[in-house]
Amino acid sequence: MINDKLFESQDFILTAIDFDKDPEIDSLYSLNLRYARYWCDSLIKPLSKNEMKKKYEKIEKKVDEGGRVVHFAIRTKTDLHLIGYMRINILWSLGAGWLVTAIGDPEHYGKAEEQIIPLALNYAFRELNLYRIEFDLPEYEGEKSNILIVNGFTLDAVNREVIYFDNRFWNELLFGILKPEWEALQEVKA
Amino acid sequence: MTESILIGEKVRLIPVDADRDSKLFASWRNNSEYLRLMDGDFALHFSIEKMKKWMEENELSDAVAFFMIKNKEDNQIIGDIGLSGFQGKHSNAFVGISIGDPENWGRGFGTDAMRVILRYGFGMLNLHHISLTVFEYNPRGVKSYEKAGFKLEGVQRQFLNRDGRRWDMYRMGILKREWEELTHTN
Repeated sequence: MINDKLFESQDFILTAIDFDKDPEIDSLYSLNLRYARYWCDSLIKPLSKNEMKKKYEKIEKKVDEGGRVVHFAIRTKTDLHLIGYMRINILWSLGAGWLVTAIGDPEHYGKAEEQIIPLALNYAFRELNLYRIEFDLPEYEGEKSNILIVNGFTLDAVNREVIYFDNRFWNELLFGILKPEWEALQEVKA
Repeated sequence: MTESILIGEKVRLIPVDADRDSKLFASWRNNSEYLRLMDGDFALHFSIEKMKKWMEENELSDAVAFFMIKNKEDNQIIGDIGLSGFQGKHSNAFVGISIGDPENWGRGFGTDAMRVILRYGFGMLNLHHISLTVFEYNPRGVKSYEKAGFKLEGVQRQFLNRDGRRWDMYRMGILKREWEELTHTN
């Protein structure tokens, strides 16, 4: 029997982008620069609805053309309300992926990652057949460390003081997990 | 004084010339060992035209600062070095380097070029930190980067998949204050 719940956790669901409804909500979330940073390449700033739409177009083009990234909108299961996104950037030849979870709705901070990270790992290892997943965490979001560790990640490297945010430099914590480590954890859980 | 920023003991850094350097890169890239030391992505040839187009696209770009490495002694262009992946302003950049002809490997050109690009990155661009990655099977690279002042910041375990086995990738970095201390000491 194959897993038919690849995109669902207890409370959340991974879906496609909704170009009509999502820009307005994401634009509002981006007023929090911690969330905006997940959408901005260089200068971190809030994005307008139209700018959000352009970001969506860009990511969809990237998904189509190169197959080097997968991107999902995260929504609550009950009312399909957008709360953020989950993305995996992929280097196929190495079987390596970089997982990003960006949660914009403060009501779901923490709880969303607790459910989305295991879902993303399952997708990465069992659907994309990757071997290594990395999660690069800004130290100012250090509260996510525990969720990563519980899910089997190891702190592989500390990129010292490489992020400037809110008037100071922060470390970037590079967490990694290998497929055999994840599989061993699944056996323990079973 | 500012003229000497891009000049080391053995090398000087000069701008990329798409017409000239696309041919050089295309010839260096014939060596699969060169490709595998330089890049984690799969080894692949690019035509001179493609290399040239890529270089031209980066002309006048503020997103990258690429240079060619010239041997001061005989004025041969021996490799390239560049900063990219700038995060914010005056924060972090990622440095990549290659020396093309294996005859020029292990002769101190890379270390010298790295010292020059650190002076440029910290002294001119006011960066706070410069990062690099190097593969487990490149101990010569690790030694060279340590000599230039980089510190090991961690190991991305089993990152590469080559020749039927997984290899680690080392993460190295240097902070501006560490570079300043080094330059004072020297």
